[in-house]
Amino acid sequence: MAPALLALLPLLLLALPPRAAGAVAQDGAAPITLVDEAAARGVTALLHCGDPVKRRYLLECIGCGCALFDKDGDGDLDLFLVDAGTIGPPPDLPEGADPLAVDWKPRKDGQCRLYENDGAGRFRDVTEASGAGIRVFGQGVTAADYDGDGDLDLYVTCWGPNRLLQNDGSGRFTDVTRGTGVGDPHWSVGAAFFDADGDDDLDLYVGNYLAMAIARDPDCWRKVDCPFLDVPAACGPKGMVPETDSFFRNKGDGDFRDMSEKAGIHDHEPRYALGVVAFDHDQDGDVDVYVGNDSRANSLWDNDGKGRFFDLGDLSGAAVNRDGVAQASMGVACGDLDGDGLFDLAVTNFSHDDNTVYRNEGGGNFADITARHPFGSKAYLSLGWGTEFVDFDGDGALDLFVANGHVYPEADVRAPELSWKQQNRVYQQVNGILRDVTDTAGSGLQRKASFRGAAFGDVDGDRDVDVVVMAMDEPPALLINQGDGRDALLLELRQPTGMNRFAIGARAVATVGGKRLARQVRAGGSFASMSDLRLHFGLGGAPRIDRLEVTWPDGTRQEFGDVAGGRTARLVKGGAIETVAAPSAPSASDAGGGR
Amino acid sequence: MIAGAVRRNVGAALALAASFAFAASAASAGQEEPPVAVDNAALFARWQAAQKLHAAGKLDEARAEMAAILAADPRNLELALAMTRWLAEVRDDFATALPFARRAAELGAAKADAINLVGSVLTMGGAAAESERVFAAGAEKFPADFLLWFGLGVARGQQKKYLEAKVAFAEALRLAPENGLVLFSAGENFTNLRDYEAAERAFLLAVKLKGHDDASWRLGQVLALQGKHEAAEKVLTPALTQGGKAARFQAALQLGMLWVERDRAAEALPLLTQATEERPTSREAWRWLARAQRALGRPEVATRSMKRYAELRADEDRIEEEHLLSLIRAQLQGGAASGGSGGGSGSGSGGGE
Repeated sequence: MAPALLALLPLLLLALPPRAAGAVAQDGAAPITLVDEAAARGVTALLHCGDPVKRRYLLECIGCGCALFDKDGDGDLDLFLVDAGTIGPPPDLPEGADPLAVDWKPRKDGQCRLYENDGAGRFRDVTEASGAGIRVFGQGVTAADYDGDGDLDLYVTCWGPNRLLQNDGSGRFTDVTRGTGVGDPHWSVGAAFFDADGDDDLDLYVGNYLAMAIARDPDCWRKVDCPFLDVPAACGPKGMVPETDSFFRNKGDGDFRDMSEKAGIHDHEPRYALGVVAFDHDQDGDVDVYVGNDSRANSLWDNDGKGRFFDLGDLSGAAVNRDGVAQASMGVACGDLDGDGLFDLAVTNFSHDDNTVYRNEGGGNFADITARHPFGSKAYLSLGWGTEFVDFDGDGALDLFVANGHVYPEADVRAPELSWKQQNRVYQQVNGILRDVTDTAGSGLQRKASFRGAAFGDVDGDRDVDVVVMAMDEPPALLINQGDGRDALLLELRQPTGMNRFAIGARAVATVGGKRLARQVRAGGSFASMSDLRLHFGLGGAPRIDRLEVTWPDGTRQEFGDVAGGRTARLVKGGAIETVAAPSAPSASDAGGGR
Repeated sequence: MIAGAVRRNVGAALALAASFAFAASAASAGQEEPPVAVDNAALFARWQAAQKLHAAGKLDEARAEMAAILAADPRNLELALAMTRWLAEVRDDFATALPFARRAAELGAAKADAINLVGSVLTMGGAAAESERVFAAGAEKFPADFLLWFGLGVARGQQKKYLEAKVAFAEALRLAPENGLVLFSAGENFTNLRDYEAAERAFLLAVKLKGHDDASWRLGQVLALQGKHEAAEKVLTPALTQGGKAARFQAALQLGMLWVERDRAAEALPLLTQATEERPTSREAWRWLARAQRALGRPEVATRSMKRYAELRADEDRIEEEHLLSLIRAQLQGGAASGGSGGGSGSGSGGGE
């Protein structure tokens, strides 16, 4: 061997050291600091999904999501946490009867929780008075104004019929599932509201996982463990019966009709759906749907504008990773990562697998660019759930958050590589590259738990992005961003009339110092969760947005020049941008107009 | 890809182990003990007969007779080793060799080459956890034997213990820094750990040292993954005509993928078409061909290619599910669950092609 080659060997044998503290500053990026203030801010609910002692069935391993939404229109984000509780055979099972010969049911020993924000990010449990404390085997949640009355309602996905909770405007909820047609009886996880057919009301896509019926599939459930890396664990999803997804069309009066078949959702075989996000992948003005399917090709439902869908997944390159592997696809992040105006995707996956980043190349093409970001072995060995592209450091470039935790408690047997409890990870975008800054991004990321769903938004009114992360058998994490959001614009879009008051599907592009920041209003995403509907623009030190273009769901456009940052603002369609709150930079309204 | 990497690692391990094991046999043959150390004449005759049965393709009879021979002298380590060696190295029959390797391990195979043989057969037989134990004990006993560290790395890698495998490969490379095969396997392990820079360096050295037939296309692949497109093209283009058929196929597929991603579908098309002709069961060749056809504005042929891809994918899913269900049924019938290391549970983290 040539001496020069031999000289390379020490490099080969040494793993790259983790980024040292201060390395971020060397790159010129502001540090990200997330601190878990859940307990201090009153979020203390202990949530369960299955038997914490022994998770026998996959149903007990998936976990739950959460929602950050404004329940009462007071301008701050309230918090809804999904709970599942445990399952078991019927309590009246005759003595001596085989418990596995009958269908198990939720024990209803868990209760979804609703917390009210006081405006400063301190929470009060208002579950009992709100009517939102349903007892179901809950999985996920999304929020939207399905009935056009100007407040946000909740849709909770479950094992068993999903629930629609109608808001009376004050934050009191009534279960109106019966009669609205959206009580999907399958095991549902991800869901998203959006206007599929351009008629202004919000339709609903529901991702369904698998048919879990203990009495029907005794081979899968009866005292059998499946080998996970030679460690016995719960079986599935492979070998079990996948469910078809559902698409419900809003009839315009607040009721829905199951249009799955006619909309084309059943054109391909059922897959094990988990993550769901509705976004416009090709900028043709309608909203498409991307579905992360567990162990099966992901679906990219291309909308023809009339609510008829064609799965473009395989042809687009976003169905499987570059190697052709169908991944676990628990959560989906969606955002314009590279500032080209197109929405890119990131999909969280199993341990011993990458979280895959798909670059939207336009024309319905996506490229797996995962390996261009140095995620490293910690990401590869982690098992990802909730995720989103968000701008933690306010520089305008989207960063990536991934909630982690293993599916199987038995993973601990495989230490040091694997563990049930894992750290959430943050990847900061610096010069176009996502770098793992977890070790330096605050004490909140040092906590280990088996995390699941995550929701994102400005919880404490300082215009930076905070995170709520659900944890199995533990209270959630409330990661408060210690940044000050000084320059950021937090923009709420509203439509004054019609059924889509919160402008779901609207798109806004801010031009700041030559950079373009594209954002879209979405109801659903991450893993089974719902994030702040307001659009967050970090200006990276610039005082103003040079130009802001807003495209409303009906295609109407408005443009604004010289828009001040450093405030929370509201834009009602056709009007001007009005400041809602500006503790650091009071501002009058900006002139603008429809076009 | 992960499963493929494991298979390549195991194959590489045995190829290396076999070369050294043969050398050891040849050396010992000229010394005081015969290559087949069976001192009982009757057993030796039976052993020769069993070998003939196996060579004649009468595998069940051969296996039964070999088992009977071992049962007749269950404490005979040399006999167990000889049978393991012959079945693995001469007959390439690891399934039959597996119980004899296990017996040899139980009897305490003590020499380094014997440990290597037993461990390699266990790895090839899918008993990676047992193999890891054998190699770990061997490496502790013979810490200067790079083959044992190498085998330990392969066994750990097969179980997806990539961090621990890295330690073993590092030690093997410290002892044998110019071994191209070990470098190649270390590169595979770095790839599994998503340390593409280290993998690139390892594969580059493996190519220069002719460490493995797959080294060139794997180098091209990790370059492409990192966005080093020109360097990838420089590596993959000559690889189209180098190495064995399988390696050339992979080079064509990787270069075709790269060109599709680089908006050079017209150049990718003949490569990917040829790939589907050479290996019509390669779903990835069909998928990337479909993408090239679509990029060239040929949606109808793209749809046909994608249909073929979907059929192949469904077949693979069905086979995998049947395997899982067979494991479940075996458990329900009281059999031991032995799912290998692939992960019957667990979501879509399996290997590609």
